[in-house]
Amino acid sequence: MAHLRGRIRQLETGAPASGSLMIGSGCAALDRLLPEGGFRRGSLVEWIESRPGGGAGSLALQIARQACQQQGVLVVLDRGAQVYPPALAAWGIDLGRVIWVQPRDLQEELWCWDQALRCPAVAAVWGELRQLDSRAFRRLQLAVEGQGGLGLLIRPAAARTATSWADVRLGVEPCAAVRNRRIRVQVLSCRGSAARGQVDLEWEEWSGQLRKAGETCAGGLVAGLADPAVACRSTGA
Amino acid sequence: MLYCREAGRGERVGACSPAAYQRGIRPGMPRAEAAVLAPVSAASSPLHFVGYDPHPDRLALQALARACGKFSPLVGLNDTEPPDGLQLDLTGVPPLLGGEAALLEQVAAFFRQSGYRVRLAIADTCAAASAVARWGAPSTIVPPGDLSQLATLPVAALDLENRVRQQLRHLGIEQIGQLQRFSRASLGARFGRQLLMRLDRLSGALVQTLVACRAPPVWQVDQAFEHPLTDRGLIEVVLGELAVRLSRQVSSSGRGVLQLEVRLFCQGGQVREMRVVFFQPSVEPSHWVALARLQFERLDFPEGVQRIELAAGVTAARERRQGQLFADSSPGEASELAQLIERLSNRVGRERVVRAELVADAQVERAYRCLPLAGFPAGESAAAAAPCRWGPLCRPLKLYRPQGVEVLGVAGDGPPAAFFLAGRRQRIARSFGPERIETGWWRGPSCRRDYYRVETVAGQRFWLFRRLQDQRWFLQGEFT
Repeated sequence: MAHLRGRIRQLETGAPASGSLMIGSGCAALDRLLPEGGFRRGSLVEWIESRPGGGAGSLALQIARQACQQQGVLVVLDRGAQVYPPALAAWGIDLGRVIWVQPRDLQEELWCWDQALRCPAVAAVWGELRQLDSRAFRRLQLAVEGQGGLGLLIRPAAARTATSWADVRLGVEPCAAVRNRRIRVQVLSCRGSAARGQVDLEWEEWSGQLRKAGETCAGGLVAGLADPAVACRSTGA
Repeated sequence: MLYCREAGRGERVGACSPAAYQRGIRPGMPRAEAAVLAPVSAASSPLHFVGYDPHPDRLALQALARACGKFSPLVGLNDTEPPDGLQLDLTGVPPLLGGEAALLEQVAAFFRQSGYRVRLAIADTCAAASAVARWGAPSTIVPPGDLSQLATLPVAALDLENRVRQQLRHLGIEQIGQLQRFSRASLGARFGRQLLMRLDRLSGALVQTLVACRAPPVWQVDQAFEHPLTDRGLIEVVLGELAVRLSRQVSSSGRGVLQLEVRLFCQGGQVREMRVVFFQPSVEPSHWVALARLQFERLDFPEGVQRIELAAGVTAARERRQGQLFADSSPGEASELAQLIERLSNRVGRERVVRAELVADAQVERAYRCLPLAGFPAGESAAAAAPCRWGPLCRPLKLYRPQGVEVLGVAGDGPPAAFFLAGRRQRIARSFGPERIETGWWRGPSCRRDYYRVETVAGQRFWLFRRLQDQRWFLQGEFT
């Protein structure tokens, strides 16, 4: 099935099928949600943020970091000049490999997206795009197709009903949690697949490590043990 | 007016205005001390503290050096860092200008007219002239071969390092003449080689090189038209031709252009300017025109163009590549990247296509600086970036200008129970903090804030702070 899906995909986009084209998110639970097991280079990913301060930008940035790990630069497109570079560095992004562009208006912003997505030396383009009509979106998709970059578009909640040319469209919703920072990621649409799943993820409060909510890993063990509910020894059979 | 610079420990006064000097403020004084002196002595005219940037000073000094070309064929800056004086090689000059005394008077008059106060001296060596000008009587002429005047100068004129200066003070050595009584071997063993080198420079035993300041070559081409041009296509053709001419001039010198200035002189005296910037030194005229077109498309000129001028504003040696940035890219990728940066910079503006660098500063807004990517030679920002000291969830990805928010249920010094965002109440479920951020009172209006990372009941995260001066709350960031 997977092979056939890959073949269809290859015919559709004209891109060579290769394992190195896929970018893992660094979180197995999120990768499992995606039919191809990751994000494909040369495609657009739309992150719909249901509420401000919801975590879509951070999650997309983590994918951008994965995309730039081996080579290529990250282009940050930021019309309002509101991105805070120390936060990028805190997420593990090497600021020496970031081109931070601050377009003045929508027209310029779309032009910058187009230029950055077309450049083969760019590994990922990350930014918030509030307004995007169907034609402009299609143009961006054509720009990135066949290139090695990944376009990570952070969109407002209103974009949920608009036409999308993204390969993968994910909804990110913040969730209340007692510990760590929790979000719910939902696949809204995915090209070539009917998969519609969702998963609750959380960032470990101090390390920023991403994992499935409720799962503990080695780093979270101490925090897990400190929870009084875990500390009581079960007396069951 | 005070100019402050960062020294080893905190800020110090780099230079000050006469008014500040009258109040007892001296260059080299710690800023905090200057701030104490300021309000006490005169409340009516407060002092202004300005960050000291040595670069414009150096440029001004270089311009003065070039202006002094009428007194000497070889004029250079002195070798202190930053340079603080000019040195003129007067070999063979005085007889032409009426003797040494007359020459000195002419130089003094020249500076007086330009609004500068100067201390001048003529001596056998650069170091001697510099020392006498600074520490001797004003406008001194040291006769050839005469070392007696130098002997009476204080040892401070040798510009020694602090340790040696203190040693000398302990021994009661105050004048250079006292040093000349010791043997070279004992001076060297006791005070190090720097002292010997300075003495040798003074006497001329050690030759000092004077690096001349020369005006940078001007590469410029222009074309005027009998009938003003209005057609954009035609103007582009002329630009192309001018670019070819200019590129020939620049490339023959082994350099490439980093900033290209295009000036269109319109009828009625209006001038339209474009500045085309490059990431790598370029001599390719077609590339120049392609980038100029990005700006030209958006340029409006009301009337016909009478003259077009093209000048190479900033140039750099062609073999020098932008080494530090994106060093590990392959050559093909590097050129693709250079093209992208150039296109973006020329369309969006040089100041809007940048690289960010962390700065070790507690104040949130000053924790980074932006460096434009195009239009500058590589390696101009040699300062090492500060390391990142935060966890990923500690700093918001989006930072706003602080906006006042209404809060509810603040218990004592703690965070609020809710705040209002765009008219809607956001209940706070969890908060992390406070993280107290304070800036030194000597840096002007002080910043004292208690920051909280707050999570609403819906799981959204924001960055709020309480201004400690008046207990008001502000929203500054969003953990998007």
